[in-house]
Amino acid sequence: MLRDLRTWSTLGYQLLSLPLGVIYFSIAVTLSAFGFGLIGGGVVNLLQSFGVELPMNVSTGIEGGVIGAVAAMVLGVIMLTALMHLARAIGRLQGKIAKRLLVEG
Amino acid sequence: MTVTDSTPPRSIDDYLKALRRALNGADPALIQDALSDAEAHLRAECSARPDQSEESILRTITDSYGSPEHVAAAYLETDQAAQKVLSPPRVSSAGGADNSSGIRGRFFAVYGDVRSWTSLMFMLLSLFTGILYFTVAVTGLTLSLGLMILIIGIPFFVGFIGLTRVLSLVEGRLVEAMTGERMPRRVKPAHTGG
Repeated sequence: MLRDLRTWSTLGYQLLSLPLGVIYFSIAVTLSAFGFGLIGGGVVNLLQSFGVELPMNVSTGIEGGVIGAVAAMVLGVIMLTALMHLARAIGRLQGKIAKRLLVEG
Repeated sequence: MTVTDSTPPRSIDDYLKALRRALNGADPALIQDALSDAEAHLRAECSARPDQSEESILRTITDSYGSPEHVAAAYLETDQAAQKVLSPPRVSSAGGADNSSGIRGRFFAVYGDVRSWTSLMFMLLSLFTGILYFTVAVTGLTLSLGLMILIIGIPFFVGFIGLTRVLSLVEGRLVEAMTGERMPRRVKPAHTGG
């Protein structure tokens, strides 16, 4: 049991999974929040530039009028889609790591 | 797969070695599953018939359970069929998505891929499973080391390694569900020969 390499690589995987988990979680939350924020901010700016009264006075920090708002929304969509690509790549990578460390090779 | 080695295995280790040879080149997770199944079965048979020699038991088992080559072929066949059923439908054949129309179509086709959604879920989940595994590993290792001077140190360590194996199976199931990578479906036995 002590000489079994798999025992130690399994322990290594468990220790590794905390930092990896922190990194994955941060990436997922940061990128999705940023992406949704850009889209939502663009929508708010568009409504404001068309003179729609919003229930509260918000400043989104997005400048450039209608073009700036549309650009922010496009950027948000691109960011969310990029996150999906990144998630799929990370999923594959994690699968490879798990196979190397958890399965007898 | 070569079926040239026709001498029947004489011991459990022989049988497992032959099975590993016959499965050479297959997915490591499949090999581990097949080996742990065979080992569990062989050891159970041997302990059920303590009055017979290992060699004669193995001769009868090779007739009932199958020769290593036959067992290997059956595992490969079953796994191929299972993999076909378990894998999610391809986006391109699911219809509707015009993902072949240029770079933009391919860029957004990622939303139609089940794997990217499940991988995103895995990214969010991995923080919590990561905390759990890390805590278990650090607590178990330090307590094992600290208790080594007492008589419960060694049993504690053995139990901790057992828990590690179970967690490893759980993580494997999770990883397979989320990313599609083939992972073991049995807990690895404590003493894997071969």
